[in-house]
Amino acid sequence: MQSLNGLGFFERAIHLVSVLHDIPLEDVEDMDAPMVYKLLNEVRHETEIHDNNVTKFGEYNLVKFEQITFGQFIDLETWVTNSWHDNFSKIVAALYLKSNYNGDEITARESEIDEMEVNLFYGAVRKYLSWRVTFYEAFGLWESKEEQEQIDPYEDEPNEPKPYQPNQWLSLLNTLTDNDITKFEQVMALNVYLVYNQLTYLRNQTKSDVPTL
Amino acid sequence: MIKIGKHEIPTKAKDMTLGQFSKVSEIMESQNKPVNKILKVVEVFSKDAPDEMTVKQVMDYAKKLDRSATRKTVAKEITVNGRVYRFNSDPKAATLAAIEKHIIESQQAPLAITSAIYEDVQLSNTEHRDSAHIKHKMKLFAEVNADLVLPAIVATSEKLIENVNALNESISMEGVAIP
Repeated sequence: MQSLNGLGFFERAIHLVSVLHDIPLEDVEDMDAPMVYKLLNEVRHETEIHDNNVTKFGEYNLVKFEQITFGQFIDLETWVTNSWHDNFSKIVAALYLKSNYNGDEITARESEIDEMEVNLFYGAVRKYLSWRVTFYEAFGLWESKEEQEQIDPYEDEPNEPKPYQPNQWLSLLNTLTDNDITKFEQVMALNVYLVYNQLTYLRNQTKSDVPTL
Repeated sequence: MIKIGKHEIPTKAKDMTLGQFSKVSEIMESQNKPVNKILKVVEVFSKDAPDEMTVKQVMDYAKKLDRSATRKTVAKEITVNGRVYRFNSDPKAATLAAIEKHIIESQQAPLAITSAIYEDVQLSNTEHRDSAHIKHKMKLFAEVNADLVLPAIVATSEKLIENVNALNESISMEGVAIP
């Protein structure tokens, strides 16, 4: 999907209509504003329908968020916080897995998803975005009310420093494995709730030694 | 006009340039306290005048400040530096987007609206909407008499508000939060 970084209300609407209806941008720009709303409403309607229905496509199933592993969570969070629009296909590929998922097929699925209608998966991505907020809230990971502020969904490069730089995930992994790299894979295969329970426990035990969650 | 020491300070839009009018509007719409607003407005016209103002003059200026237009009809065309700019009475989605963008960036709505809605008759639609071109016009139009373009600003603002409300109902703005 095209980057929508820093756009205003109208410009976002124009880009959304162009992308979701597959209409050239110049044509949408020349539309009367009411036509743009009409087309936006159609997209919203379609998205609402698919929010409820697309839990499966082909042989792939939408993962149960509460069952994802810490490794999947790291991937998803890296893509979401580094522009979820640009990483849309990757996120979808991570959210839809075969029942016998072996962890090495994401690139193939990503190419397949690139060719499919964005509306099919938009609902699932929205659900994930909503779930992660609940997840972080459940673990009390928001430091303050201000930090809960919603980042603009069309903002690809948030101005604030990104909390999940690769070295921060590395810090968490080191904390969880007592700096034993041979155990990283083992930890990444654990359920994300289990891992965050442990991190919360460790944080409460020795606050100063545990990296920021 | 009101006289403060040796300074003549305009009170009506017809005595202001569009650049001055935009700054005055920005100040008057801000969260400043009423007296501060007046002092800042006066400062737009003279840096020294606020220091010389009495309480009575501040109150007097607040009463006399009138941002409404004396002109009642939209100027279909305006000429600036020898070039003719025509009022676009039917702005398309991209023009509204350009207005919104430049209002946000400059915080000077009247100047941003005028610069996007009056289009150089010799240029194409793509050129009208070009961000650098609109910024260039914002410099040029800052010297235009505010009264001349106020009816166009009012008409466009109404259209903009109507469309923002409609858009608000259409677009979902749910976000990606970061812990």
